[in-house]
Amino acid sequence: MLRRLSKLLTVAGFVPALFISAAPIALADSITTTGADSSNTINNNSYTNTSVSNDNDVYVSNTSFQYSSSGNATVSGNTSGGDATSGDASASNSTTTSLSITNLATMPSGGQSGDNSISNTGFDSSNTINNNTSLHMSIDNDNNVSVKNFNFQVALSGNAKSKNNTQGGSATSGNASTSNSTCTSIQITNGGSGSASGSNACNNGESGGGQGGGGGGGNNGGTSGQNGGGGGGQVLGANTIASLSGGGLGAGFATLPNTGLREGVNNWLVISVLTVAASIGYWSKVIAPRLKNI
Amino acid sequence: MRRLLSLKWRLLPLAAAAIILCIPLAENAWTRHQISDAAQAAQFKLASKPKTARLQGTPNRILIPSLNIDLPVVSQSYSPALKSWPVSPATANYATETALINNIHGQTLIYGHDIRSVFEPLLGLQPNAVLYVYTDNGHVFKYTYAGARNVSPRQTTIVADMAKQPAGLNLITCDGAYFQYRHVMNFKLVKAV
Repeated sequence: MLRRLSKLLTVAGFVPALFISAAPIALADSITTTGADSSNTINNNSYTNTSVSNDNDVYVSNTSFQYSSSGNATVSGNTSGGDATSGDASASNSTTTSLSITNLATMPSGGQSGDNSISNTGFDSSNTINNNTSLHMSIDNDNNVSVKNFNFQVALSGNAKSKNNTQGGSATSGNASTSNSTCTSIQITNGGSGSASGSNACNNGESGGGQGGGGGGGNNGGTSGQNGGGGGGQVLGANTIASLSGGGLGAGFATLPNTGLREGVNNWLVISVLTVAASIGYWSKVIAPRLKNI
Repeated sequence: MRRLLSLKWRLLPLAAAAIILCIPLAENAWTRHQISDAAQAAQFKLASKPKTARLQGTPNRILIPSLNIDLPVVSQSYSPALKSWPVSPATANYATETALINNIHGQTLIYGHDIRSVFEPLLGLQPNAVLYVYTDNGHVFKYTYAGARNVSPRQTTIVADMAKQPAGLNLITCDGAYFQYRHVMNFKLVKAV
């Protein structure tokens, strides 16, 4: 009776032990103590399929309009006229666009690496361990970047007149000038474990107007690219870390229609602005002086 | 005024400028007039004929009077190789994988670019706005705006769902600062002839 009870307890203790040890079986298989002329085989097959899709659409549009007009200088109807000078007029604009896109995708780690062993087998037995690991990864990076800079500049210098003077002085109209500086920095990093640095090429440009600098960097499948330090202006960043879990795509379509397309500046808006600016200049230079004289 | 008149021909450039500024306004007014006429004609046709049992056809024109939209519609098919949908830059696009315009079962998908001259005005649609669709075989379908939602570009299951719905129409255009959404607008069929 005691022996039966001890057998029962042994069996009762073995069953949960079997389930508890079931989990690691997949990672570490072992065969031990087999008979003579036995055939012992452990097969480990591992297949990992990862699909990553990064879709970045970035649109930047910068528009600036500058109008600069210096005043008129007139010396008229004086017996002994002095000099008349109008001041200078200037307008400047600086536009900086720095764009950084980082698509990160990390290759999944390898398959099973558990310990497999066959030991204490019998005479003339055949022992085989097969480990088959297959890793498949596809990355689809789709980066659409559009940067448009529109700059319109009008500079009008005033009239300088000296007339009807017995001993006339000089009339000097000031300078009118506009300047513009545009810098665009684009950095795209696809894949690898790197990330785009926070700096950009625009910061390396010369200071002052009239100089247009720019830089672009692309880095695919490696560490991050290098660019200069960050500056003012508009900074847009898009950082996508693809999910490795994947997802079902309905009805065989990878995506819905991509209808993201924006126009640049409306042509009629540009024409209207230029027309108004030209009209203002024409009025101030041609019409207004004559109205005063009438 | 007398001063201005004394300047005579010197005012001509300003008059020319004023005319140039008026051109887009006149163009807009003319377009509105034409769309209003087309909408009245469609409404007249819908009122004059009785409803037939089954009507269907390929859409070739879309008209939304309240938004000043009157566009031709071209048929487009999904490209498995490119994994994308062709999008015509200046017209609306009918997805041939979805139902034909019909009055029985299944919803049609028409999509277009998010630009002023195509579907950007749709983002300002008002409830119960009226939409007319013409088909290549001479039918006219009238719809009213039922509602809209933004979905992810990857949410393609909505295309499959359209096939299970009663007759209707869906319009899609992009939304969001980086076009990260697809704005799906649903229209309910009112009448067809």
